[in-house]
Amino acid sequence: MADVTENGLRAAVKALTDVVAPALSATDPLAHEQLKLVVDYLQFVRSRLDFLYQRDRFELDQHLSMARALESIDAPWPAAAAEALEAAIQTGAAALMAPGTSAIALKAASAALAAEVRARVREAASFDAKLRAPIERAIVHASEQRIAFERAWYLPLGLDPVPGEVAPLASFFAANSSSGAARAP
Amino acid sequence: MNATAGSGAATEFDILDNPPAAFIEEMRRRFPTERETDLLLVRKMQRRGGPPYRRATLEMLSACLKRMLTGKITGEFEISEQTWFTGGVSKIQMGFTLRWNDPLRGPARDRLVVRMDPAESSNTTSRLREYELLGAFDGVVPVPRVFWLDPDGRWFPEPALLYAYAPGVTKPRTTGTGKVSGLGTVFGPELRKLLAPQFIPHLAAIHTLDISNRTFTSMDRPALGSTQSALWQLNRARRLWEEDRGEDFPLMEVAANWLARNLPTLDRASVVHGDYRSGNFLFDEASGEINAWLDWERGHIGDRHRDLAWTTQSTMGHYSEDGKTYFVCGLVPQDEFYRRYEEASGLSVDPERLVFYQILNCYQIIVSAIATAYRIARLGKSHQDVLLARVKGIAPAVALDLSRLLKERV
Repeated sequence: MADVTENGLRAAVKALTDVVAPALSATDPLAHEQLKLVVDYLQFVRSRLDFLYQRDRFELDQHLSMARALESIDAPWPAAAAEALEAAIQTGAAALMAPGTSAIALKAASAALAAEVRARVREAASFDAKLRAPIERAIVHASEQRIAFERAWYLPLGLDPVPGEVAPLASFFAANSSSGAARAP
Repeated sequence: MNATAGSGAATEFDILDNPPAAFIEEMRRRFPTERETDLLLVRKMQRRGGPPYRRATLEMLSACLKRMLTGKITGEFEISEQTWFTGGVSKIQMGFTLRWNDPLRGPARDRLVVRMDPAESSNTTSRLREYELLGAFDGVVPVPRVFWLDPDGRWFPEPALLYAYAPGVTKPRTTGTGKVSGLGTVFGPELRKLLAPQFIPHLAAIHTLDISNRTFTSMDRPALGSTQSALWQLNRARRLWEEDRGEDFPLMEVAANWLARNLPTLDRASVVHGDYRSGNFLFDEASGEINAWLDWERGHIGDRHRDLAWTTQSTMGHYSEDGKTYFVCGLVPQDEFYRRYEEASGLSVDPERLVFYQILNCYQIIVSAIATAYRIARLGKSHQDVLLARVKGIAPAVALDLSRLLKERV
């Protein structure tokens, strides 16, 4: 049997707008405000439901790219820190390569990589400028693709100040699936 | 900005749902800030493991109000016409009419507002501070008259402030300005002409208020010529990031490193409004007169460049109909804004300090959107959990600003 979650969300939105909204008291503006927010959020989830797993894979791929960029920099990390970063990269790469990796495993690998990168950047704060600068530049550079993706992901919420410059969401997945690496859409 | 924390799988950040005392003390040690801010953040973390917010009813708040006013008003009084106010994100607001005998004016009928915290707010801020600031600016810029304060939740479930209802709108009902882009309120050419000449002098008046002989119990005064002011604000934001987030975002670590290395000194101690933008003033649509400046909860004594950077932040304004001119808060072109501010205030705008606060403001907005909003919605702590879940959508645009600012500087 096919997954019908999207259909269910559509029905939930219809029930809320057709049945619940007219039944709300006119003297309770907070309830009306909350209902509109709930409906809007369900519509957003509907629009993203089919892409959730691709999102998890894309995120992990982005974290891997960032961690590899960091690993390639000649920095005075303590040996244990370098090993921890390498271990997170190995785990993340294996999760990305293995067929059928669960969403939970993808998320866990992403979180582990992000935590290692966080720790390395914090350690870099005490480095000399010459050692620190390439690390921080690598993070800024590696964040660009991720930020562009997040703008596309959240575009339906209507909060982006320049929506016309946001790339289509599908373009990120197309680039990601064709190469296995992060590229500009 | 990963989705790990929302998956239901355990993460290293789950401890923040009910932080141990040692963690709270560690935050205090690592990120010292103003005393009032410190007290509020400790209170927040100590209460985090408690129950979620339960919706207050008009009857419940009315009963609290009656108990409070019984101790504040001499003689009889009557509360009526209680209504909810929508649109607020961080505070719960109830309007009501009070018939009472004002010692200053005699028999009076006032429309007032109760402004109360939820169990945990998207802004952990001080009602006492708001009370003091509204009082300080009465007669300086348009502000609602402030009446009473419940600083510790003695009468209400949470700290609350009572002030006069201010009439007006935050945005025109119709704009008819054609195609524009951006989130900032679109006032249109006619209202821009009326509002901009008030918007800039009001900010100048706030920043030039003489506070040398004023005492504020809720605000510490940072030392001139030192980096203390900037450090307090940075530490507050970094502490919130540590206390609230459910995920890592390494760009924030780069930003924190840069900010810590580039703290500016304070050249003049000003009252900083903290959220000076369109949407936070009420105006009369017919005359274009600003009736009230609201939302002083992020106020503090510090660097005027914090406000200037906030007001000119990209998500607060929009581009013109032809796409060529960026209007600060939808009101005035950016270059003109700075020039007219300097003329009105007699204070300089320092580009380097401005950049520091632009980066700090981006950092702070991302903290609110990714970290604080997430934690509150996860734990059901506010009256606006659904709205806070949606707020994450603003983070990418601000992160883009942050990355562009950092790219030129790291």
